[in-house]
Amino acid sequence: MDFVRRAVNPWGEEVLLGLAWNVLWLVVVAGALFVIGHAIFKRKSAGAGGAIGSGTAAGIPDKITRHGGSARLSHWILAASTFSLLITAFVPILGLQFPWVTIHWISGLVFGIYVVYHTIDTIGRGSLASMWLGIRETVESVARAREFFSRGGDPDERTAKWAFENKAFHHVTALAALAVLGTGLLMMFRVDTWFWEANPYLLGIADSTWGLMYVLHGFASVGFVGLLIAHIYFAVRPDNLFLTRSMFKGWITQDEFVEHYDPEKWVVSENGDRMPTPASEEAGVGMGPTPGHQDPE
Amino acid sequence: MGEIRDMMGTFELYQPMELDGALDLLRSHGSDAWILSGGLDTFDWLKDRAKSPSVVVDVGGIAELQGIEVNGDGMRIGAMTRLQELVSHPEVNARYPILANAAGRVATPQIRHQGTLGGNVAQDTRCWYYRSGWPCYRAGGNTCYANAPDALNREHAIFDSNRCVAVTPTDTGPALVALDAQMEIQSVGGTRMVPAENFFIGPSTDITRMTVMEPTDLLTAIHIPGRWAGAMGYFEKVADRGSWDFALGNVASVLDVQNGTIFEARIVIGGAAARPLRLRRVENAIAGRPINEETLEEAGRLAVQNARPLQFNAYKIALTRNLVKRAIREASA
Repeated sequence: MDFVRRAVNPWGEEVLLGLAWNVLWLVVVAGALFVIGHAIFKRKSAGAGGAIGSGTAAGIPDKITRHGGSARLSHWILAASTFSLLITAFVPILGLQFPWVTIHWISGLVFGIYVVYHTIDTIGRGSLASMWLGIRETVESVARAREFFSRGGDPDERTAKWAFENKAFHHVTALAALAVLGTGLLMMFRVDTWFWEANPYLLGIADSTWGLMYVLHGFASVGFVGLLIAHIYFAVRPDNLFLTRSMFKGWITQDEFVEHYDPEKWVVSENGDRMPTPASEEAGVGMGPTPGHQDPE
Repeated sequence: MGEIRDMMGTFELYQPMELDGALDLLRSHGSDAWILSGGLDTFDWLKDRAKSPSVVVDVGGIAELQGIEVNGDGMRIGAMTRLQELVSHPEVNARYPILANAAGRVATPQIRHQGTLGGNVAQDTRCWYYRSGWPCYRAGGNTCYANAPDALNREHAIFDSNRCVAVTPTDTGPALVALDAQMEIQSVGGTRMVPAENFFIGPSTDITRMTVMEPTDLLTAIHIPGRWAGAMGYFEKVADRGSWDFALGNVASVLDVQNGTIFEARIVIGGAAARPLRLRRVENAIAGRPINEETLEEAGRLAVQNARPLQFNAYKIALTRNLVKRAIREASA
């Protein structure tokens, strides 16, 4: 199986063109296997242990705000732009042809504007450090994973607002996003846009470097397919549906809070508002509730 | 320039005598197969080794693809019908003179005796960067070598370019679009009719193809309805050489003129985009108007709206404007 596409130019030189689209199928199959495997394992381990719902409701309001209006709006804008990017990128490759280029770069711009907004907002709140993945957190996560895979059942599910897995997912997504955005912005110089006319030689980048750029863009793009499969899978899992609903309505109930969260790790005010949280968490880029850990807040 | 070896690579040659056999071969070999019609586009590719199909399906022996049938007020033209037959066919000349004229402006008599109508509409672009084997967008790469400030793009597109700026080289295509022709495409899965206007596609739809045809498709015939039979029409091709050359620009028009007023029109230009472009804005603007200088000026102005010339082809704007004006004036002359 070829992982990259190559061509030979009239001088007999081999030119790197980009990622081979077989890799897309590889990612789709891997994503499907992960989803099936995880679902089977969770079903088998259900009821084998765990301490879900052992918290108290004392002092917890009826509704707890989880995602503010702007966070929800930006999440769905991000979702729309991501779907638009993936559809315009891969549907023509799958054989359904349509004029996709303009929609693709406009979606990419929306995606990029979101990333810039998200970054500035996070820095503005002074909460960049809260997304740091510390050694203790990592060690605890490994221990929980061992417990999970040894079929001892899920450990205590009550967590802080975001867990290690959420942060790891966020960071991998951020890396993929920066890769597609960085390469995509440079690739925009090769097509006519509202801002400039195409000039493939404008940046003086060699064909071989462009080839690497296309490989990186393609690799990050198919990576997004895998990340999206995981994100949607965890969003529609029955045990996570309350979170998905909160991305529409903004809040979770007292029962859901008590069942899934440790009030010492996620501190909420008496009127149900969240205490100040990192903006990065506002975006809701995560896989859903995961085994407990010490939230950096 | 590509490495010209004048010696084709090896391939398996099939010469089916039945249509079903050809369709089976195309289905079996998919994108590895190459359809050989008149061979005038094919042999350039194969000798330059810019394309290396493993299978060539020569459809020249299939009788169903040959000939011109007059049916009712329309016509069915087999895809393998030689261009010269269109030029000399009395019914084609009587009913659709712009098609006969367009076919007569293709290359030379020798080539018109070899070239087919199907091949003329299905041929690939003549962009030399592409045909020389550069790994451009159209060849599956990431660059248009013709769309750069110092590129040689005198012959390239002024309309509808999207990354790739290649133009369609067909002369008969604009005439068929103007005549509302339907392209009969067959595959093992069945037959479908595609309006000529939709048969040709631009790079924003698919940058690697110039028509809607899939690797397993075979263009079997072109059907021309009676709507424009005997109508006023005009075809003109402008090329660097009068003897034979590909079009820098061409135009085909048919007009329905009643009492000196244009009732309905079809105006199509070639050599300006990756596909023959039907100028609907012009057609709508001139409908209901008399043929006079004011109408022609308006038509010429509208024809080049949204044109985006490259470094060396701005002349195509004036060329297109004047061709469209002539296409209306001369059609009614």
